[in-house]
Order: sequence, then structure tokens, then C-alpha cells
Amino acid sequence: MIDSGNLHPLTKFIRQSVEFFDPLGFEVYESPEVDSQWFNFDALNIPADHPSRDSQDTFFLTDNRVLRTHTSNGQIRAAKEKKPPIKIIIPGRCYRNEATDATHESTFYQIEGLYLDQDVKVGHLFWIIDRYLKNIFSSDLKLRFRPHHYPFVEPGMDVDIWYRERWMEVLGSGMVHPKVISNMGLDPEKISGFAFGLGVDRLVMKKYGIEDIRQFYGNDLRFLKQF
Amino acid sequence: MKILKSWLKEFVDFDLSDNKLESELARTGTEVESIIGGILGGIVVVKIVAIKSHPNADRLQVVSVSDGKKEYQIVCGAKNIRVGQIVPMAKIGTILKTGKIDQVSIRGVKSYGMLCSEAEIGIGTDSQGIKIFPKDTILGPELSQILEEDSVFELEITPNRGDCLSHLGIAREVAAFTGKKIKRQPVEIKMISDRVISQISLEVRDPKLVPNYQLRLIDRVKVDQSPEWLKNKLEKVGLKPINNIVDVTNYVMLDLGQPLHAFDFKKISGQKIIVREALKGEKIQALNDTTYQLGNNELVIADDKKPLAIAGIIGGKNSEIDFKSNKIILEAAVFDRRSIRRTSKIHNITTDASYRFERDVDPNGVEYALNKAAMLISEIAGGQIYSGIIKSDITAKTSTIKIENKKINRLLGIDLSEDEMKQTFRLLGFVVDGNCLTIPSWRHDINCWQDLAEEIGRIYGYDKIKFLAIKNKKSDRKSSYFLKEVLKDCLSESGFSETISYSFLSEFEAKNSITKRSKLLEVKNPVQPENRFLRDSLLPSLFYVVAKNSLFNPISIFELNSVYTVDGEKKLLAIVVAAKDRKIVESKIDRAITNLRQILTEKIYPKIEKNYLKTADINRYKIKKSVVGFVEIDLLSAIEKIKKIDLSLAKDKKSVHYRPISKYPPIARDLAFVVDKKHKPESLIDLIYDLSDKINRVELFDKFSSDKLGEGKISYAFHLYLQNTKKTMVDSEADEIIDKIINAIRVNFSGVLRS
Repeated sequence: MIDSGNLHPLTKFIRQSVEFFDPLGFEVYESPEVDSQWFNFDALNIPADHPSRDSQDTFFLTDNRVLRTHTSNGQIRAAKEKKPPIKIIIPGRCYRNEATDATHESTFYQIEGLYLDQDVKVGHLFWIIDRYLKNIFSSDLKLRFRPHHYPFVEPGMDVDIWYRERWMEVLGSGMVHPKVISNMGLDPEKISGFAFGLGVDRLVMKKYGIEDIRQFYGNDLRFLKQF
Repeated sequence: MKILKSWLKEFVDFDLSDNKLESELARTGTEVESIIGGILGGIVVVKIVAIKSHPNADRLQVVSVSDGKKEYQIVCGAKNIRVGQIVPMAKIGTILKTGKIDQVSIRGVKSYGMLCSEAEIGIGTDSQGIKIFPKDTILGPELSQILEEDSVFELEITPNRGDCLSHLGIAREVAAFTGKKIKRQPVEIKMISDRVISQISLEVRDPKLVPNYQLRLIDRVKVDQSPEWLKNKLEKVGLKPINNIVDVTNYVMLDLGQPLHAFDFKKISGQKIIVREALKGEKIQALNDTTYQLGNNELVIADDKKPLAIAGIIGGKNSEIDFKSNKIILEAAVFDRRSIRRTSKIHNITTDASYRFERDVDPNGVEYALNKAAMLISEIAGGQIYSGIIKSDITAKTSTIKIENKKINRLLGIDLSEDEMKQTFRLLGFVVDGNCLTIPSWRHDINCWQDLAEEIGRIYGYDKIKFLAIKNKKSDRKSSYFLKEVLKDCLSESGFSETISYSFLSEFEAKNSITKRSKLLEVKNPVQPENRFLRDSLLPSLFYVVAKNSLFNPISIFELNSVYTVDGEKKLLAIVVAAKDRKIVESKIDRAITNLRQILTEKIYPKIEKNYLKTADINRYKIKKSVVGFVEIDLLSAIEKIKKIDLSLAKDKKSVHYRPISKYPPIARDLAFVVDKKHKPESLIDLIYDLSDKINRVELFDKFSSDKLGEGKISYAFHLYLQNTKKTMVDSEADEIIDKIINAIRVNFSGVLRS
């Protein structure tokens, strides 16, 4: 009797990503889901009046900590524990204060990537993202890097993939902002680096054609057992 | 924000198709969400040079057209065409609303394009005849270049680029990437000799919060509807025309990015405008008919008696322009963005004005905008403009920054000379002096050389940046992540399905939890007030999953996730098995524990406790099974003791054929096939999925080979779950699919069904 169990599609996706980054020397780093506003926002150059810090966007605890809004909260911790070169990816669960529907979830998974060293360049970021997304989707995937603003990077870029006859944004990235590097206790004139963050749920949806994001947390075995 | 393409051309000469403009904007950092209207690329102007009847179709004609260089043959069914007419032709490859134009053969005659009607090219509603252009229309060019373009671009502007929230702002971007200069017409206004200071006085209480405040006074205006051109432009970018005064203020805001406001002079008491903090409890009825109660720290525009507007956000009813107004005060200002943001948040009002002030406006553009609005009002509404501007302004600081040529080249991995960089900065409006730049007054986002690197990078083009490989070096796999994944593999291989559930705990669960209420973490602003605690155990979530999946028996599930209390965050592993029979539950749990023990040895985790849910709890969770066994393990000690995982993770061999779940009942069938051993079960499964999209799942549940089956033969048995997403699956429909499967397995694998 074969009794087949299975892993959750989000677990599988994160694992495929880890298997890609691990041979390139990127360690898996885990950061807390409940964190201070300093690690989640201030240290990442997200000022107190930034829209993402509104209560409509972030879950605050009664002790004023937050449920992390991205796994970028591990950037500063990791950099303080380690010495450059720092190469990590941070997979994990994040939260957004949002009413749920087919395309919105209050819970989601993110993979953050961080590489800090002397002389890390934009070309390194492009190389790894290009390889990674082709590994996830297909080797003939078309992608583009488009300038975009995030407070914790400068310059910042979004990455689009050509999907179903149009460009679709899948990932945010950029060169770590000098203020963030300073907050890590490093000298931004000597150390540079890149960071990127991608929403796992949305990419898994695209990968398999899943239309309702709530499926991931609905735990219907008719859904789960397909993976 | 909506931008009208033709409006951009008032500021910069450029010649780009909609698609090209979209890709150039995206390439340089302005995201285009959609393009509405406009004329598609790929449609050219041609002349009909000959018409012949179609040899095989009475209603069709074979038309020869010329674009001045080349002739094309087109099959056309329209009746209104004559030789000599100038008409639009969609070239091969053009995507019209009706579909893509391909080279086709129509009844044996090749057609290399399509002649179009007004409706097909998006310039009218007539879809009957072919659009005929005037005789002097030039042949050859793209139609989008000769007709008035009115495509509307919906853009997403990031919060750091408040300067892009206008047509001028976007035109500056276009100018930078096309290498063109911005044109800004000088504003000439005729003023009467009466001076504004003889009519009103101004008091700005805190110039730090209001660094720039300017007023003009216009008399004898005739408030009326706006002229068509103005109404049209506003409507195209999504604004509702109100009257010619308000429309001009909105127009100038969209034009230049500077919000403006107009007050009715007669409704103002004491001939005085005061910009001050609101008194605590002061009320104002705003133009949106809502009354706001203001507090300290909130800026208002007031006269000597009452507030007239919430500064920079919304005007008050009491000073509103109406059709009887004839003397108006026009205001243009800069308000502190934090102050505007605070007030807008407190009262939950966002207006086009507050949106721009929150993102900072150009302090050096205030006067120009005020003058342009005054000029337009006098042109449209006939007013007489008083002499002078009444103002309170602190001179805006100019900031300079050094071009760090080497650092920028190094970060981007490019090799531009300092002169090349200077040229880019000039195009972006920076003033270059040696290796120093004066930052344009409208750019509030340039603070360090990395910001300059972004400017260089986005104009130079990220597509031209060379990829640089990162050296291979395997990581140490020290992370607890690998331990968790190995445990997940172990459970999956033991027949368990992984679930992932929400971290929140309901009030009810909180009461029943083993953790004291005071030790649970609580969310201040939960989505649902009921679920405001964070979970301290994974088990309740798993019990709900069991209840929800009543179709499955037995159920074996697990979750490995974090839980949180005031004492910190813990990683737990919980497994639950539910069935009708205690023996089944017990054996499944024991098997899982035995397998887990390979990793979590007794040295690492001394006691793994097996528990059973009480009947009362089974009922409380509405579980339709009589036995529910569970185990919960705190992984902390394991994480501390197992520093390095050398086990590799299981390879994912399963090919996924995702099928959305039907809300209607499925039908389950079992099928077993005997095939040659060389065939893998996965190959059969892939084939079965491909046969029907009504197959929700195919699961291999048994395989064996024996002499009875024949030499080199193997039997695979599958569970099949059939569903219809639109209605209940019925036996007849299921039978059809099953027959198809049996047939296909026979044809493709010479497989024989075992009865």
C-alpha cells in the first residue's frame, strides 16, 4: 500500500529556491516573525511617516512590535552576526494587514536575498536574478530590470517577466542603501551589496496557474494533494 | 495618474508610438499601468491604385494599394472603396481589437493586410465602410503620427517622485530620455493698475510649515462652464469639470504639478487671509460636504473669523466659488509635507492636492503656476487681474552634490566619462559646475551619490549593464532550515500531507490554550477582532483542517511552523491523524514517530508523546471521525543540538497538473493496470491528467509485480478523483472519462485493465 504524503507548494517553491542559491554560497538565514519596528522599518531607511507603516498595512502588537512585513527584517541582524562577505537568503512568513480575497492575503511568504562584500555591483544582482528566475520558470524566460523606488535600496529595480503576452512584475531589488549599510555597522564607502525580495505565493500562483491566493492557507486536501 | 500624450507634447517635441513611449517610460522608471484609446501602431496611410473583382467570391474585391514606396494586395469586402481614395491599412502583425492581422488566403487570393473602418482604428464609431482620408493626406506614415493623438497613459508614480505628478514632470522624463529640451511658454498677464495689497492682507503664522504662500486677486470674472477644450482635457484624464475657475486650478495642477485653490473674495471677512494652526475643536464644512473637527497642529487657511480651508487638502464650503462669484482670490503655496500627511491621515482625506503636497512640490514653480492660472482665468472667464502678488516666502535652498564619477561607474559596472555623465544630468535639469551639480528644485529625492548612480543607470539603460557571475561556493548548511526540511521530508514519506495555516488564534482558542492569557501576544489592529491572538500551538489549526476535510478518511497531516508568546518565538512540529478506527490512527502515528526517530534521536529529544483528542473536543472541532491522535514537538533542543545537517533534501519528482477544486461533489474511482516494468507510474499519471481537465487528482496507491501478471509486468493501482467545476459529477460523465483513460493506457502503454 502506497500512502503518499506531500509537501506544501510553498515549501516546495522555497526549497527549489534554496537548492538554487545554496551552491552559490548563499546560506539560509532565519529571522523572527515578531519583530521590533527598528529592524522591520527604521533600520531599513523606512521613515516613521512612510505609508507602509500605516495601520492599514502593518499588524502592530499591543507591545508595539510588529508582525514583520518582509523578511528584510533579517538584513541588519545577519550583518551584525556575520562579517562580509555576507551571502544569505531569508525565506519566511510575512504579514500584511489586509482583508483577504482571491488576490489578497494577510499572510504570505517571501524570500529575501542579500549579498554584501567589497565591490558588489549591479551586474552581480542582474546575473543572479536572471539565473534564478530561469531556474524557476524556464531557460527561455524573458525578463527585464526596470528602475523602481524602495527606501532600502539605491538604485532600486523591479524585475518583470514576460508572462502570458505581457510584462509582469515578480520581484523587487536593488543595491543596498548606504544608510542601511551604516545601520549594519559597516562602511558604505567600503562595502556595497545587493538585496532582493520576492513574494513566493504570487510566483507559485503563476507557476501553476492557481487563481485564488487563499488556497495556500485553506488546507483543502484536494488542493494540497495535487503537489 | 493619467497623462494625455498630446498634452506632453506641449512641453517637449517627441515622436514615439504609444508602445515605444510605454517601454521608454518603463525602462527609465515610470511604470505604465495601462494605455487607453489612441491609435494603434502598425496602421499606415495608403492609396487605392486598383480594384479587381475576386475570382472566387462575388462580395469580395482584390484591392491594390500603395504606401508611396510599395504596393500591397488586399482582399476587401467593403462597398465604399474607389480607386484613388486614401485609406488606412493595418499591416500584417498589427493587433486590432478584433484580433491580429495575419497574412491569409481568402478564397484562394492572398491578402497582405486589412483596410480599416473608423471603428477598427479607434477614431470613431462607424464600422461599416472603410475610412476615407482627404486627398492631400501624405502616404506612408503611421496613422498614429498624422492624426491627433489622444492616448491616455495611466502611470504609477513612486512616492519619491512627486515631481512626476504632472504633465510637465513626465515631459521632463521624456525630454531626458529623448535628449530634447523642455519648452515652457512665458506667461504674460495683463494687470490693472489697482494693487492687490490695497484689497487683502496676508499673515502666515509659521513660515516653517508654510515656506511659500502666494495670492493673486482677480475681479469681474464670469463663472460659467469651461470651454470645450478644457472640459475635454480634464475628462480625458479622469477629472469632472465643475466651473471655469475650479477647472483652471485643476488644469494647472495637472499641467505643472502645483495645486491651487480659489476663494470667493466676497465670502471672506476682514479682507485678510491668515495661515495658522487650527484651534482645538474648530469645525469646517469641506467641499465634499463633510464637516471636520480640527485639532492643534493642523494647518488652516482662515479669515479673521473662520477657517476657509484645510490647508493643502480641501477647501471649505463657506468660501466656495459659485456661479455668482465675481471676485476671486487665487492661492498657490508650498506646505510642509509632514503636516499635510498628518492631517490627511487623521481625517482620512486624500485629495489630488494633498497627494502632491505630501510628496513635495517645486518651490520655484509656485509663482509660475499662479500666473499661468491667472492668465487662463482672465482668458476664459474674462477677469481683471490686480497688480502684484501678495506673498510670504522663504527662499528655497539650493543643494549641490559632487559627481562621483568613479564610484558611480564602479557600482553600475559601466565606464562613462565624467562629461557623458554631465550630459545626462543636464538633460535631467541639473546645473553643472565643474564636478558639482545643483539639484533641480523639483527633485527632492537626490541626497547621495548613489541617488546619482540611479539617475545615470536608468537613463543609460539597465539593459546595457553586463552580467557578472558570482563565484560558486557551497554553503555550510548550518541553518535550522535544513533540519526542518529533512523532518518535512520524513513525514511526507510517511504518508503525511503538509498544511500551512494562519498564525492567528481566536478568542475561544485563547481561552482553551495551555499558555496563560497574559502570556499570549495580541494584535492591536487585527483584521477580525475575534482572531487577535498569536498562536502558541499548531494543534488547533490542524484540528480545524481535519474537520474541514471530512471527505478524506483517514487523514494524516502535519505542520512545521513558528508559534509565539511573550517568552519568544518557537518552532514546533505537529502531526495529527484522524480515522474511524483507533488501530489505523495508532499505526500511522507510530510509523511517523519511528521515522522521525531517525533524525530526532532520543539523545536529542528524549520523549515523543502520543496523545488522543477527547470526544468532547472532537465534537467541539466538528470532526466527523471517532479517533484523533496527535503529537507536538518543540524543535528548540533539536535545533541547538543538530548544528549541521548533512542529509540531502528529497528530490521533487512529481510533475504537477494543477486543477482548481470544484465546489460540487466529486466521484472517486480506482483503476489498476498491468504494464511492462519499463514504464514508470509517473508516465501513466501524466498521460491520464492530459486526457481530461475534470481529473482533480490521480494518486498511485499500490504497485506490485508477480509471476501471475506475466514476465516483466507490473501492476499499478490508482485512485482517481473526478470533478466538474460547474455541476455535480455524475456516473455517466465519469464513465466516459474512465473509458477514455482505459483506451489511452492500452494504446500508449499496451496496458491492460485488471478487473
